[in-house]
Amino acid sequence: MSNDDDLILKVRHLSKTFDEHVALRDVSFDLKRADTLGVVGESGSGKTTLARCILRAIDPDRGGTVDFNSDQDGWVSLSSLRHKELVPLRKEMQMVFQDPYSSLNPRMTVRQIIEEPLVIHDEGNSAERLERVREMLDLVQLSQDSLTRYPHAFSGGQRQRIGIARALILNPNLVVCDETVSALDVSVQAQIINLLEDLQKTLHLTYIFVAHDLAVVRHICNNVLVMHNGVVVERGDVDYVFDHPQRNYTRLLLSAIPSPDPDVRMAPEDRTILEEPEPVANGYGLVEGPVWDDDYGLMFSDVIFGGVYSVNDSKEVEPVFEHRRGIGGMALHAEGGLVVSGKNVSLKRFGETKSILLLDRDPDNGNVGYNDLTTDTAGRIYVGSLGSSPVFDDGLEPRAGNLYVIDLDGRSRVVAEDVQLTNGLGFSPNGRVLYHSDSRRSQIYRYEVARNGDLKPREVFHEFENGAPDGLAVAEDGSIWVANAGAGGVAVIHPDGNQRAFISIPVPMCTSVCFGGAGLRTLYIVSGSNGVDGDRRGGVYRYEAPVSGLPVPVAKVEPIANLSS
Amino acid sequence: MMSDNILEIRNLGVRFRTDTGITNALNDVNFDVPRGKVTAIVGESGSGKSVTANCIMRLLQPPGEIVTGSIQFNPSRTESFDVVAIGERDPRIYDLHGGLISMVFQEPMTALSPVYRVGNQVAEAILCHRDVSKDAAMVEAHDMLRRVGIPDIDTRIQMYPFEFSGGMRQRVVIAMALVCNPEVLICDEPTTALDVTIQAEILTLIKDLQEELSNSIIFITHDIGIVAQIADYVVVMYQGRVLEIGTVRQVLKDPLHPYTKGLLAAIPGNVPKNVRLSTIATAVGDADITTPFPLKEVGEGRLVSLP
Repeated sequence: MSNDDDLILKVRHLSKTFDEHVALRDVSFDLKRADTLGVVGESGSGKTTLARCILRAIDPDRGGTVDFNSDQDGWVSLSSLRHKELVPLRKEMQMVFQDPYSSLNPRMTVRQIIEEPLVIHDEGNSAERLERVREMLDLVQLSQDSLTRYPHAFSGGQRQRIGIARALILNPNLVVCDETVSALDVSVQAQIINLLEDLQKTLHLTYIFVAHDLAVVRHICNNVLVMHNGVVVERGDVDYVFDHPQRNYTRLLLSAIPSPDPDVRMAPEDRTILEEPEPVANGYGLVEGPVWDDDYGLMFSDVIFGGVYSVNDSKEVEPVFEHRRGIGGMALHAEGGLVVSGKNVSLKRFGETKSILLLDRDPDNGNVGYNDLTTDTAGRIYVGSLGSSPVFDDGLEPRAGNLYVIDLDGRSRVVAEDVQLTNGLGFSPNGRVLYHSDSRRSQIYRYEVARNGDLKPREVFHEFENGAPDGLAVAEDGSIWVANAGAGGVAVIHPDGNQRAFISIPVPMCTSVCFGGAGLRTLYIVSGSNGVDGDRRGGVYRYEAPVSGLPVPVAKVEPIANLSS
Repeated sequence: MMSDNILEIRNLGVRFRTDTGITNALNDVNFDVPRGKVTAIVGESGSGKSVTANCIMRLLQPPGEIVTGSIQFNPSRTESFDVVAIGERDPRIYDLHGGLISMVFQEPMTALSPVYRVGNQVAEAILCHRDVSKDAAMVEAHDMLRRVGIPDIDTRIQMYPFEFSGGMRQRVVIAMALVCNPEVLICDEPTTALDVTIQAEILTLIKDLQEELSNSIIFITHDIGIVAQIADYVVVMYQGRVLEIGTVRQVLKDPLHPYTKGLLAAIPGNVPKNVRLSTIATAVGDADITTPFPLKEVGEGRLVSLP
């Protein structure tokens, strides 16, 4: 292991349990020499416990290991040494604390405080020690006449300098800063941060920087561990993690930072949305049209390879029926079957092979087919038409489609025009508003719905900066849950149009969502590959939502003609 | 335009007489608190922001004393009075504390009694200022605790503060502070002791309640991010003086005083990585920030202490 020389610390499977409470669970990481590792999280997240376990200020649970690359003995196992054996190594590892008021003994002079580590480790005689203390005062930019004064005579920032001098007098390699600048005014904080950075360069220090201020962590650290409930939920290069947070908890932390720009409104994410989606089925080309049925479970189509499948609570997948590729949307029909949209909109009764046409392709309008659909409480079907296929290369220039409503008697009409790439559709809880994704414009439209099913002119409800809106579902509280294609997850949009949360999945191409399960409390999230041949990265995820979904009504449209399969 | 202020502070001077001499904690402090808005007082430790708040509440303790100036409460109304001028035994002092003006502090446990149930403490604030029955006060306390977002109130109302998290305690303190619908709510660093996530919740709560109850808020903080998110107007203080006043956009986007510029430059998020952080001293440079130039008006409601 040649590159081990660059490392100063190897932490493996570190856990700490206090009575019944698990404060730290299975933490592993490497730390490079002269790096600065940030550890962030809320109080109770385990970040201080982690720091203390590393330094053996407290003993971790059995099983975890902490290896330290010491100057004296090379790699040593901090976690298995006895406390007496640790003493000489403590010179190489030091800690600077948060509170500059309580961490300095008020009855000791500054000289005694800074000198004490040398006394404990029995280094040098009195004159040599005084010389070292004087050097340290210069290093932390405190005047020499501080020597005989007591901590109370110093400001918070000056006290923190005293604490840093005490930590550095033994020439440590690893310094743990536990909220070292948290209690300081911003200007003093800047001075201490600059000092720590200067000292790192001159003394080749490695820092573990435990902090809750993410702006400070981003400024000073190379790498970061994000902790929640004793677990490292995300780690990596600090800029990458903060710019591309993969986990909901990281996003929650970042969204809560008040921006110093009054034009950037703080929009903290919903704390209830912290769990991660669980995969339940995979190996499909492009999963679309998810629809929940109490008997079948979640049904979905594979746009690329064809077929309609169901997956139950035990993650068992069954084919529902065979079908050619290209089904973009599905809904339950009152006659016991599925309304499917593709080249046309048709009804497939369960157990029958033939399809019954509900709405044919409209070549005069330049339509090549249909995409997502939804139903209103009367049983009408709303479905958008496509000017070219969003998935298959049909050689056509992208062009706008329309939004159709199919009435109960089977007659259809256009209720909205100029939809660049029609996608998810869903009604608000009172049924008076219809939401509609236009993926090519990266917008969600909002229409007021008239009693006869007509739509008033649309307004832009929400615009996406990253990726495009795809399939959507509406929850009981009126929030809109939108698959964010390209951004790898589901955006939760408040009825006021503001994004409230984001649920990430491990693949970028998130295609649609649907509420299902008991009480419609499970959000099913489906995904696809990018349409590449043979790529079967599409799958289904489920996620316990903090709200119930709205049931999507069954379609009651009367079929007008029969089609052979 | 006729300005409608809930407080007008004029020439306020405070000194502390100690064994080692006299310290002037406030010098010629002048600013207005507009009605129904959030005014942030921002500054470092020792800038005088908390002393100013204590003067408004008449909570200044010896050796501190107000030596000059006035704090006119409700200046445009008939019931207007000068907070500084009223006597110790004036009944309006009692009205000030929690009735007309109330305060939320940094550490919620300083405002809560550890030995009384949460519901009783909120109800007591009502009974102090209004002539209602105990039962009616409990009903109102219940309602207020619901409005500040305490979950499971029927159980929680019977609990003691130590059974609450820091964020929940601060919600209780906010309920106590608002239950008598004061004209002015003074928040003195109410989120400094809280995690950033809980801080965001409390800031959102304060802002939402302010919009709902339309009272006036003085928000004291050293965190520019909080100022940007919550304030309508900003008063920048330094060494007991007011250096700059304006709307939040004016002060944060177009600061005029070198000290304010320095304060903004010292925020870690505002500079690229690997660039040394400015301290206020380096950002201010040779500019004179210690001479007490009187505030001059450079636009409507825009004041700055420059020669």
